[in-house]
Amino acid sequence: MEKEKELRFVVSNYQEGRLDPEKAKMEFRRAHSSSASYTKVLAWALPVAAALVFSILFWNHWKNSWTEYGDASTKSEVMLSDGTQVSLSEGSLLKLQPHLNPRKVVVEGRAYFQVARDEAHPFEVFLEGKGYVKVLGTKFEVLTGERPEVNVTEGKVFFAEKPGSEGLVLVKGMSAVLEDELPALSFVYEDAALEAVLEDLGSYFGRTLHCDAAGRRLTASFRADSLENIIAAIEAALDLTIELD
Amino acid sequence: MIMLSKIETLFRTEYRPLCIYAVHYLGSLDAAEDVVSSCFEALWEHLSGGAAVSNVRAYLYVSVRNSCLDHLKKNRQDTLDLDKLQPSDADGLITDEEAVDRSRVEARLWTAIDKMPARRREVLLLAKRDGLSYAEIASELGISENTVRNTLDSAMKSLRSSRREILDFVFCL
Repeated sequence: MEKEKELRFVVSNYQEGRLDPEKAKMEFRRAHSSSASYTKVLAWALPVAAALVFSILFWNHWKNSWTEYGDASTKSEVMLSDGTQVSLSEGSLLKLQPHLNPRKVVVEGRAYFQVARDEAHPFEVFLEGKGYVKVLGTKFEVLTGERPEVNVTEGKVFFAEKPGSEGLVLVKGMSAVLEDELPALSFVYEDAALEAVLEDLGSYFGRTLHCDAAGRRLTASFRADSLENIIAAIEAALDLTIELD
Repeated sequence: MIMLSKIETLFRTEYRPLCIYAVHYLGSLDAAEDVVSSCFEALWEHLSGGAAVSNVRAYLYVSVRNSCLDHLKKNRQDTLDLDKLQPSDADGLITDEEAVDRSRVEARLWTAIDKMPARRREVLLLAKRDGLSYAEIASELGISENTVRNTLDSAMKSLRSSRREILDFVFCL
């Protein structure tokens, strides 16, 4: 054996199973699977990523969180952050995502809106079930259910089954009931001057109505399907003649 | 992680030779393993800090040598002249260069002994480490002298063939 001194050195120090590279490697791996230097990048990236994910989740949760108003047993008055005032009938519900869009609300039941004017941001009302109202700033009442209804007391309102679908523009004094998707319009008057009523109808149907009956007043509601039918109804109710051209 | 697998490959090829190199300085397996492990640790810190090492094996040997000298300095009471500190083998002092070269051969021998059947290893150690005669080994183990001779022969043969593997291996490099 030419490498006698090497062998002598090895056997003089030899202990079974010692200087085991596998064991050392595993120890190294174990020490570094949890230590900062093995996962130097992960060590700070993980907490940062986790914090980021949590804040995004939290922010999302906060952003999308709903606020609900309404009382089962009494009427309630709600002032929204944009200044819009809502009167809720008892048992009615108003909900919105104030951090996402304070001018987009969902209503179930009956609610009367006095919408703060903001030309840049239309105010939207989704009627629970079906029905959609978009306004800029006005006063109106909504009623949800099988036959969703909108009554406008001031200004101008867009009423449809849902956003993007065909709908109607309602102005002061008009009501609409949503039946079979398209709102059916009706005119509602309470002790209104006949001249004002005729002017309303004329502007809606694009005709001119005339009647020599100054001072007569009218309480009535009409479905807005046929001007002739409405005229006939007013003529019968007040016993007068309306001219149409 | 590419770097970790690189380190783990180094463990496989360098750990045992480095330990034996350290034993030449320290004379203790425990101390040698501690030193070598901490050098792997330091290498890992170095590499993961973005530093480049052109000759990793040479880097490790220098690192182990410095650690051994530090270790000796720390653990000895008398004042040491570090420049005069030298590695040794079973017979006396050797040069650092010699210790580096021999560590590779010795690591192979160590591995070959580790892989031997227990009885063959026992015979080899009794003969070469403890210096027992065939007769003494035979009575110690309760076998015939002939069996001792044959066992020792096959042990030496397997060590020689392991040496040949080493040479082949070095040649292939």
